Amino acid sequence: MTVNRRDFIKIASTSAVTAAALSSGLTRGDVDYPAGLTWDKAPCRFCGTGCSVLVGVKNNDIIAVTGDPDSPVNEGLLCCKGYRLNKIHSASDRLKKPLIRVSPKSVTKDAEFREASWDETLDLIASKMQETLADIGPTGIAYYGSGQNTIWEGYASSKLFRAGLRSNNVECSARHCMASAVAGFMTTFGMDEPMGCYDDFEHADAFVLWGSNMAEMHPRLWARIVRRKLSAPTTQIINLSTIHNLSGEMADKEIIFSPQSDLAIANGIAKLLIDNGKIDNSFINDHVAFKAGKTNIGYGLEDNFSFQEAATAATLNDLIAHVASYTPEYVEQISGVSPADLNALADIYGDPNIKVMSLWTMGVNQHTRGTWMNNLIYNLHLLTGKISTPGNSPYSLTGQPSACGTARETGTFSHRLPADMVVANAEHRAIAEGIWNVPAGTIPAQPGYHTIEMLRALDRGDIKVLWNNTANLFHDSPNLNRYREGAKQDGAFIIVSEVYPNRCTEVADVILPSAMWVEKEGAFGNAERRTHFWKKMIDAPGESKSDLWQMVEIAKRMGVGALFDYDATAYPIPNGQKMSDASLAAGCYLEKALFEEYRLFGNGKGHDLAPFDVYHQTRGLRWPVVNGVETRWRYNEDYDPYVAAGEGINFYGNEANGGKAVIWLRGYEQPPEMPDANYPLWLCTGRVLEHWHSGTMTRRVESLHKAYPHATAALHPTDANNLGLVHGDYIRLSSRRGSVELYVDIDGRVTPQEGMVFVPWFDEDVMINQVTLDAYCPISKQNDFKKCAVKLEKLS
Amino acid sequence: MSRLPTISTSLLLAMIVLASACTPPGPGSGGVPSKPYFHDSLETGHPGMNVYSAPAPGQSTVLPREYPGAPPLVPHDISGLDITKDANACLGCHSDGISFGEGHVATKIPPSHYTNQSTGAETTELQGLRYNCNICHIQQSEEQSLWCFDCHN
Repeated sequence: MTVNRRDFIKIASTSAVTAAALSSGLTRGDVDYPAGLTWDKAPCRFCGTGCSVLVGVKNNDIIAVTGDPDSPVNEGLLCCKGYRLNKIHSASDRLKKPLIRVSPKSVTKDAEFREASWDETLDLIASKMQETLADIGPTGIAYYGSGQNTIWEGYASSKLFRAGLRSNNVECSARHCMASAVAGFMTTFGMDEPMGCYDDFEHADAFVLWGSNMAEMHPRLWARIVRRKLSAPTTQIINLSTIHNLSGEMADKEIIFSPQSDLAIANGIAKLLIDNGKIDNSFINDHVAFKAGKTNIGYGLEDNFSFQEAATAATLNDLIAHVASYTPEYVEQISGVSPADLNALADIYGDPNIKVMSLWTMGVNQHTRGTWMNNLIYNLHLLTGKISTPGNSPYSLTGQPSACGTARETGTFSHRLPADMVVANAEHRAIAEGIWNVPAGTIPAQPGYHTIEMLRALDRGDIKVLWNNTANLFHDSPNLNRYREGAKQDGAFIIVSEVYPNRCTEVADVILPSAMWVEKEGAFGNAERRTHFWKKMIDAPGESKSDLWQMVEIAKRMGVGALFDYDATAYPIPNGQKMSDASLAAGCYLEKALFEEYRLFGNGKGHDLAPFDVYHQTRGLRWPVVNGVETRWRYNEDYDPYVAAGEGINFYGNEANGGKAVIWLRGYEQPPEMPDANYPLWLCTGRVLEHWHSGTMTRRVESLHKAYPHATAALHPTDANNLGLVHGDYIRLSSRRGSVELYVDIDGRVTPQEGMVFVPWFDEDVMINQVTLDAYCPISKQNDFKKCAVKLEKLS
Repeated sequence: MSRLPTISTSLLLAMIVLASACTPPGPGSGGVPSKPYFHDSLETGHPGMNVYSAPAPGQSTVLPREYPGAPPLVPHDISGLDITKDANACLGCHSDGISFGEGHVATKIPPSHYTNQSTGAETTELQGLRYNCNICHIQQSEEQSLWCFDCHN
């Protein structure tokens, strides 16, 4: 028999076990799938959107993937990367055995490694860690993960390092993705992550993109905005950007502004809202407090830079005085945005009949005033009361598939613990020590090194052992010429868990071959607080092992294996399920045990998660999940069980100040480096639709590689003309820190503003991070990859 | 800190390095593998240029699907064919699957693309979620350098 689309959806929805073996073929929509595939669901492992994928498996290989029709996120569709998820695991240079470096550290070209057993490799790692603990102490070892770790991997890494090794050096590449978003949420709302959800896309009347090229970076969410636009033609899309891009092609208005001037634009809109009488005084009285913070806060360019915010209470009148100088004329002077365009923005935010979604990602977050920019966008929604109701939604998007679920929620930042708790707080440490069953005082009060300071500590020799896992630290980091040298020092011991050779394995001392995606059981949390799970579907090749297995094995060798001992009678291995190596080694359902323990941190505190088994039966649930029901709009009585009847809106993350969100007085300050006579152009870096981050996976897929093979330098035609450059010229692009060589692209899909060059960072042959500047937001410690000064020279 | 050498060697060399990288590391059993584990390095890399020189629309030939259900690749030049809020240039040929003769036929947009994703209802309009064709359907450049996909399963 042939199963039609309806049947397929029904089969795929069958809750207890989603897998369905179809021996006689499958038709979905227009496609006939080969017979004999077993289908199961998994979240996509690329961006923060969190699309659900149906994975068709046969003979321990992924034969086909398709969008999951039961997912409310992506409604059965994927993007060009998602449709190649079946191609990313099987390229011929997949790492399959543990490797130990043979050639000297200084050699990266054709570096030699020898194959080794897991025992030898893990013993070597443990001996290096013990040596460093004796020489330097717990601050000398570090873990660097990402929002691509599963929830239990993130949780286990934090537990291993903080409770086991007494080190807060648990850090992640999500620092460079959305630390400013976290700091923005914590300072404004006292609680992390968006109050709204993706349902806002079908309710909003206007979408304002603040430096977010969603058309390439969040394609399936962008498709929902496009659907809204086409089905309700009065819908407005405003693309605020420093670059003309694909999102601008669908926009009603594209407003190009000078780098860093978003700070002035947001204050200018706030001033117009106040001047035009468009603020919601009743909402402000009931739900808003005002604060001012420090100014001239620096850029973190120096080693051991430190910053401590000092907030003072303020009033609406203080805000009025603060924004007074941000007249349309002054804003135009800084930003290049016309008073007419600024007024158009203010009209959208100020019209009570227009429901507004503000959307942002790296333009706002990778910013030396990233926390301020997050605060300033919230200010617009708080001044107008356009928040926490369907369609009124300041929306911070995330880059990685579990930036929220893993990095933010389990707390794999050097200063955080699960459920928004922090290591600097004694009560929080005590809660964690209680749940982890370790003696009081185990977790250090001092936060570990944040990403840039971790790289500097490695370079200084203050860190000797660094474990890079699900990240590509020595490709992704700014000012790489300094930090790669740090990694190549003889004293530095770099552990890299990877699936393919890349710029990070080049500087490794040991390489651990990892299991990826559906080769293990996993869980991610997407950008709408949706926690979603998948089961193991195929075995990892060769001797590859899951990152969770690696963590437990290192814990055992460091004498803290008891942290991962769980009761096999409480967490039995279920019959007939393909289990991860970690569970099989533990003799219990380790992922379930870890998740059930992790839930204790957030339940009853606004971070409630459902029991483990529930997630395998759903397409995910948005926390807080209370009495089995997910929450779509937080802080709103109509949707959020944490808001009592009669309260209407309650920003309960700020319980200490009466449940009020904070409007911060933040102004414009210059970036640390601006174009000058010697380096006359801005450099902005970013991503492209076809590639995931540093390209380790997507560049190994033929169609994706051929669609976008190389990073090029996109220039405005006027600049090219002034510099005597034409499309296809070969150039050297240099900053004060380094240079790369690449081709000029004037016909590409993006056109930067005049005075700017744009280079994507996916290409390991164009290591643009040799050029970028290691300047960060002093509050969030997130680096600014969008602004530094460069020059171009034509090469023959 | 000394600077890393900048990228400067020839494209030919880069292609040789890339090609050799496609050979899987030797099986080995504790010895030094016969091939380097790295296809490239900062010292030898030379980027290429993205050259999209596919035939004009109507002159190209359909590319094979990568697997059943894979979105078709775009075999033709797309310069100037924009998708904006007002118009979608792809629809001119692909709505009806126009034939250009000599075997050149624009792939007709299938019924799935007119089916409402949430209700299952068939409509006459290209669904909004499918409007930006470029999200799924990608153009192929002339790129010849291979990574390791030549050895895919």
